[in-house]
Parts: sequence; structure tokens; C-alpha cells
Amino acid sequence: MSSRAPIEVRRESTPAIRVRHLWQRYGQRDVLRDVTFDVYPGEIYGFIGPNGAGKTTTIRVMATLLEPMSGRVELDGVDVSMDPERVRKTLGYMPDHAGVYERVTVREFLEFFADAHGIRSPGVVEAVLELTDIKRLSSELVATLSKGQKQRLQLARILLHDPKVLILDEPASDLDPRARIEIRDLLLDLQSLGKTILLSSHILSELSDICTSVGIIEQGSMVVSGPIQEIARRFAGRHGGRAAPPLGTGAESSLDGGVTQPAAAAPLVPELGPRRVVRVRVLGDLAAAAYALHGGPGILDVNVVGRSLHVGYVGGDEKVAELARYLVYRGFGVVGLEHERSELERIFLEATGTTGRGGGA
Amino acid sequence: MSDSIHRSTSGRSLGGRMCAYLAELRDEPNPLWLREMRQAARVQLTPIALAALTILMTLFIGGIGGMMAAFKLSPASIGGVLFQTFFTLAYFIVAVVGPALGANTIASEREGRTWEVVLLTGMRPATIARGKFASAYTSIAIYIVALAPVGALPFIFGGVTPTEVVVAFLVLFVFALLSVAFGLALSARMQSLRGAIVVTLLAAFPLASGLFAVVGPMASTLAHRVWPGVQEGTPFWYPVAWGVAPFGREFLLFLVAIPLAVVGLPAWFLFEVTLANLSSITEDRSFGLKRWHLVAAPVTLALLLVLSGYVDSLAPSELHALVSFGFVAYAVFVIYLFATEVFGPSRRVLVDLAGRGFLRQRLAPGLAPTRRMLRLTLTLPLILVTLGWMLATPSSGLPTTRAGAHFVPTVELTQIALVGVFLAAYVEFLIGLTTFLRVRSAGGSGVRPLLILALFVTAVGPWIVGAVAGLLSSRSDPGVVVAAPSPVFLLLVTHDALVTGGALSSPLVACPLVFALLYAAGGVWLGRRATERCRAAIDQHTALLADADRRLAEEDAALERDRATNVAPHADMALRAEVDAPTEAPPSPESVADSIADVDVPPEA
Repeated sequence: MSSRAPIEVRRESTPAIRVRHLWQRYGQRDVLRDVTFDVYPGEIYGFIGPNGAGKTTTIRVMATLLEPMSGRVELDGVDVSMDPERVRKTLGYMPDHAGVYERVTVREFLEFFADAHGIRSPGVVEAVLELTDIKRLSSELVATLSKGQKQRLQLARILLHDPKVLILDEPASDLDPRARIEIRDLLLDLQSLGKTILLSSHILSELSDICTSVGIIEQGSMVVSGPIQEIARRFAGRHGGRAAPPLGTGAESSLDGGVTQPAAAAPLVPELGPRRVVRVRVLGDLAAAAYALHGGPGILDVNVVGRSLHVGYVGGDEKVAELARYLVYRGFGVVGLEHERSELERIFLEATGTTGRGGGA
Repeated sequence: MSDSIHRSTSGRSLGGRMCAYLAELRDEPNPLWLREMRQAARVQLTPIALAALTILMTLFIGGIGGMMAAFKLSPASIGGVLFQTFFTLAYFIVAVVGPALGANTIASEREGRTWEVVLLTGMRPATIARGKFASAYTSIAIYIVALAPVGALPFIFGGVTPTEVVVAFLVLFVFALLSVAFGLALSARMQSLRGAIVVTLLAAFPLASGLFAVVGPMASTLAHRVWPGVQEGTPFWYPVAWGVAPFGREFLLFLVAIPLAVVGLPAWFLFEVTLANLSSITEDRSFGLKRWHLVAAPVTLALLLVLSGYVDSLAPSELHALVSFGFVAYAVFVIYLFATEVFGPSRRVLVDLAGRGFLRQRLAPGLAPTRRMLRLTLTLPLILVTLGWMLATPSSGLPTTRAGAHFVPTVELTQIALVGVFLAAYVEFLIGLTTFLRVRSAGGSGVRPLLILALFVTAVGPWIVGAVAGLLSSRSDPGVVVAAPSPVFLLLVTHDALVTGGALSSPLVACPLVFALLYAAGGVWLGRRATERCRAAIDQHTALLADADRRLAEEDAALERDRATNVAPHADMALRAEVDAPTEAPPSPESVADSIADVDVPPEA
């Protein structure tokens, strides 16, 4: 694997993928309704949505496999409807559950697609075998590969013609955890090679570690799209006035063992954003640690759950760091800090309007 | 790579292109063919199946030979019977295995979820079709080659010449070509492998049986007239004719030219159907079929005219009716073929057409140009043939009727004119009706069933009505009035009047003429209405697309302004609240969708 260089996403340039006012209908049902988003060169764009939201339909339009009823999709500045042949030269597409030819070897499989792409250089197959780390499998029959290896083979296939844009539909579905991690690392490597990657999934944990931008689609409509941090800031601004109820106003936190602590007053700072929850694992007396945190600035509530504390707070990462410092200062050994939900999960829940009141941020 | 060859050979002569394709086959074989051969080579069952087939055939032919010997037939007779038996069996093996192999090609890619990734490699549909055809044809060719030793068994007995055996094997190879192409054309439309194989076999077996049981014996009857050495009524007569026919005009015509046309036209048609079915909805899917039709129509007509020249016992009007009805049958097939033509070319096709030649532009997708083409190539030839036939009809020396009298030239001419005018009007009506139905049907799916219904109602319906009313038995004038809308019935009634030595009565002339006029007027009216409506839909669609382009251009301009003023470029950041309350409605998606659905619907070849 090559070492990864920091990626610069050039948002001032022309988008690598541009989807504008896309509508699609099957029968009487609109499966896409005015879907609009951009993906910039060098980005890893997570296309998120529940099953049936319209992800695959959008992707199939982008991949020139489906004609849009209305709207325009451009890949690298080329309209997919007007010049699909040119688009196919700049696009690497890995469909959901893509099939393979079972009775050929890995090398023969890639040689076939290299020939089909009209690639004359004999070193290309070798290069992609190496890049995707399946060179040792090159003489194996495809039928004997594991699911993860087959996904790597699919990635090798779509890299043969050195496309600028990679579109991957549910690339990690049905894979075991190891294979998922390998695919994730491979995608980051590809990003470092300057590829623009759009990958769809309905599993947020798949995307949260690698995506620079996300788009959330629900019931055929684009709910939100853009860089994760920017979306998070916008949501923070939008929900600034409706954070969880402050402590000391009747809401109480229950400690482990049913001991109820008096709720300390905690001033709500609206500009700091919505209520978030961080899980803190500490050594020593959990109840004492919870008591120590109560009433701190920005701390909304503290619960002891199992062997950790669930601390509700408002603010950013600085608040979490401050909280850890304070616990250490008070003599508690902090052995772990973890957000109850990732940023992406929070965005998804906010965007799709399914945030539970007690469910954290 | 085929596509590069294709690009490099465009504009060359036919010979140059053929040379380039041969060079391609030698230097850069089709990747699909190579891959499928590699896959096939790893199937361990194939050699076992081939060996089993060869052994079974050997045992069967040996058994037949043994039975024949028990009847103390001469070795030459036994050889002849074994020859016919072997090639009949081989014919049916090819008729079943060939389509199944063809059906397996594209449908298996679709079912195996590899089809889309193959498409996205940028391979052209023609390259894909050639690769798939080559792989299926190689497989069936291996089956035929495996049977070759069994096919040589009749030599042991004699009565069969080497030429006959070689020609018979060539016939098998050519028939295999058609059978694979048939399976491939169907496979290109099917999504599931099982469905493709079942549908293909259900269609192929009756077709092959019909060819063997009906067309073969009929052709052998004609061949027997030309060369009495060919046994009459034998389905597998063609190799025998090669052995007995002296080289000359008939040899070239019946054993070279006509077989080439009879094989070449269907093969080309199936190839074009495959390409149409493999092409995207916004590509020009009908040009290839239209090009085929422009060749097939005159060849079919010429074939009918040539064959009619070898029938000497019929009156001119009867021959004219046979030729005309043969051409009408072809016309109905072509009208059915183009029944789901798109309203007009997509934007992509329009861009592609801009720099193309005259013929390409005249054969552009669209209902109006298709209707024009059909009228020129189907209605007009019927009229021209009728006029030519009337001019060529002799005023004396006509054959005798069944009643013993001579055919009367004036009656003959009336009959020719009547049939010609009626059939031309009927074809015009079918063209207009189909165009009208297509415009009224959003997706085009109901057009073909309605066309079949219209054919049934007009051709058979009057018979049924007449029979129910009891008007047909007496050949009465009211009976003729009822029957007149049917072209088949028209032919039979007028023919009956002729062969019984009678003249055409006034109702027999007037009624078909009135209905011909009604058919022609109806066809023209329906066709015009349809093309007007189609033009309006295209104009509306074009306006909607222009409106959408304008809005997108305005957005682009706004984005550029934002960039210039350093506003964050994420214009796509659309929160739910903003989506719920758009400032401006998108460009009429429903109407755009509806109009596109009509304009871009491809012909279902």
C-alpha cells in the first residue's frame, strides 16, 4: 500500500460530478425528485439514504445506464445523456452486488476488461493487481475468491482504464469486518491518487471514517449535501435554540443504582449548538466521577450506564477535552472518550428528522 | 479492438473493410469471444457431452443401416436413406442447440450481473453482438464437427456423392449461423437466462419444424420441376440438387443466388434486431432495421417475381395475386416491426445526425419519416408492380380455365387492377392505422396487439360475419358486400369468378373498389392526424427542454457570480426546509417526463 498524502479538495474548481434537478419516475411513482448535488475533484462523497431512497437510481443515471427523465448530470463536464461514450472513459462504476466470471482466473478477468476497454499497455493489469493487493491471487480462479477478494477484484477492474471518477454502489455490503477495513483503506489510497469517489451506503459507520462530503437522500429528495463539517455547522446554527432542556428545570439525571442526584443548574448557551453525548470510561468510583461533573459549565446531565458515564453537554470538541482535563485534575483515570454518535450519524438523524429527544445529539 | 477497427475502417470500401475485419480477427480477436472460449474450456462436461452425442448418433445410424440391410435393400439405397436420416437428425440438433446457445449469451450476462460492467467498457453493441455470436457459433460448430465422422457413414454404402455430403455439412453450418443468430436476437431482449432459453426454444422448434416439413418439400417440388433428378417432396433436397443440377442460369439462380438471399436477409435482420435490442433508449435503434428493409423489400419483390416466372400453369392475374399477396405478407411484417417507432430522434441522435449523409438523415428515427419510408417502399411498389403486370399481360394466348374456356384478357386486366389497387390501399391503411395507434399509445406497448386485432378484423372478420349471416354460400351480391373489406376473401371470390370462366360482375368490381377507396382515405387521414399530433408533441418537448436549458444556464450564471464574490460554492447545500419550499418550480417534471417517455421510446424490434 502506498502512503497517503493529505488530500486537497479543490472546491473552487469545476465539480467532477454535477447532478442538477434530476427527476426520475417509474410508473406513477417519482423515485427521484429534483435531486441536485455536486462532488468536487478529490473528494470521497458518501451518498447516504435508507433502502429505496433513490441512491441506486441516481447512481445508474450517473453511470449512463439509465436515462434521466428530466435534469442534467455531468461527469467531468460531460453530459451523461449527450455523450455517454465519453463519460464511460472517465468513469469507473462498481454496481451493487456486481457479478464476476467465475471460470476465469483473476488475471484473465482483468485482461478481458483491459481488452474491452481497448487498453494496449500490458503493464496495466500488473499495476492494478499490485495496487489492489491481489497479485498473489492472479492465477486463482475467480470462483475460489472470498467476497472481500472479489470486491478488490472489482475495484481493480474499475481502475484499469484509469478513470477520474469512481462510483461505488454499496461497496462494503456483505463483507466481513476485515474486508471492510481493507476496502476502506484501499479507497483512501485511491483518493490519494487523485480519484474522485462517490460511494453509496445505508451503513453510516462505513462512510464516517473516510468521507469528506456527504449527501443524504430520502424518498427521492436530496435532504442535504456538502462537506461534513460545513453541514454540521449549519445544523448547529439551525438547532441552536432548541437544545435539550437545561438542568435545574425539573429534568433529572439518574445515576447507577437508582440514586437520583439533584440536578445542578447548567446554563444553556444556544450558540454552542445542540445537546451531545459523550461516553467516558473512567477508573475508580463512577458515581463520584458523575457527581464531580454535575453542574459544570455546559454539562447538561450525567448518567452512569454500565461501566461508563454518559455525559450530555453542549459545545464542541473543546468541551470534551475540558471535561477530560477536569476529571484527571480531580484524580479520576480517564481511559476512554467516545461520542455516542459519530458526526455523520448526527447529521443523518438531524437531516432526516428522526432525532430522538433522549437519543443524544 | 473492434471499435478501433470500426473507426479506422469507416469510409473505406467494402473490400477494404472486410480485409480490416479479417485482420482484426487474426490479430485482435474479440475479447468476449476469447473470454467465453476460456470459460468453456474449463467446463469438464463438454467433451463428455460431445462424445456421448457422437456415440449415440453412430449407434442410431448404425441401427437404421442394420434395419435397412435386413430388408435386403441395395447398398446405394441404404446410403441414401442414411444420408437423409443423419442430416435430418443433425438439422434438428442444430435447430435446438443453436438457439439455446445463442439465448445463453447475453441473458446469462444479465442474470450474472456482469452485463452493465461490460456495457460500461465502451464496447459498441456491434462488437458485443459479434463476440457473443462468435462464441455461441464456435460451440455449435464443435458439435457439428464432432458429428462429421457419423455423417461420413453413408459413404460405406454408396449412393451418396462427396459433393452432397460436403454441401450438406455446409448447409448445417449455415443453418447453425441462423439458429444462433435467432437465439442471440431473443437473448438480447430477455432479462433471465431461463426465460431466454424457454422462449427461444418455444419459438425455434416450431419454426424449424415448419421449415423442414413445409418449406423444404415445397421448395423441392419447385426444384423437381427444374431438375427432375431432385426427388419431389424431400425436405433435405438442396445437397442432392448440387449433385444433379448442371451448371447454368438455373444453377446460379436456385442454388446460389436465392439461397444466399434466403439466408443472408434473415441473418442480417437478426443481427440488426440484436443491435437494436442492445442499444440504449436514446440511440438510433431503428436505422439498421430501416437499412435492412431498404434492401430486403426489393429483394423480396424480385424473388417473388423470379419465382412466378417459373410457374407456367397459372393465369397472369393469379400470378399477380400470388406475387402481390407475398409482398403484402412482407409488408405486414415490416409494419409490425416498426409499429413502436419513436416519435422523433433524441437530442443525442440529433447531434449525431448533423454531419451525416443524405440517406442517414432520411432514415432518422421518428414516426413521420418512418411512415414516409413505408409508403414509398411498400405501397408504391404494389402499385408499380400492378401497372407493370397490366402492361405485360398478353391480349391472347392465355391458358385455359378450369371450365375449359380461355381466360379473357379484359377480365384478367380488371382482376389485376382490382387486386393491385385493393392491396395497395389496404397497406396504406395499415401504415396509417399503425402510425395513429402509436401516437395514441404512450409507451407503444399496445400498438402491436391492436395491429394484429385490426388485421384479424379486416381479413377474417368479414368472412365470419358473412358465414354467420349465411351470405357466403350463394356467392350473392350482399355476400360480396359483406366480404369485400377482406383482401383474402376478395382474392378468392374474384378468382372463383375467373376460373369458372365467368366475368366479374358489377358488385364484384364496385364493392372492392369502394372499400379500397375507404381504406386508402382512412389510411391517409389517420396517418396525417398521427404525424400532426406527433409533430406537436415533439415541439412541446423541444420547448420544455429549451426551458430546462435556460434555467440551468441561469443557475450557472448565478454560480459564477457567487464564485466571483467569494461565496462558498456549495450551492447544492439544500436543507430540508429549503427543499420543501422551492423558490421556483423545476421545469415541469411531469410534462417533461411524459413527453420524453413518448419521444424516446425505442422500437421494440
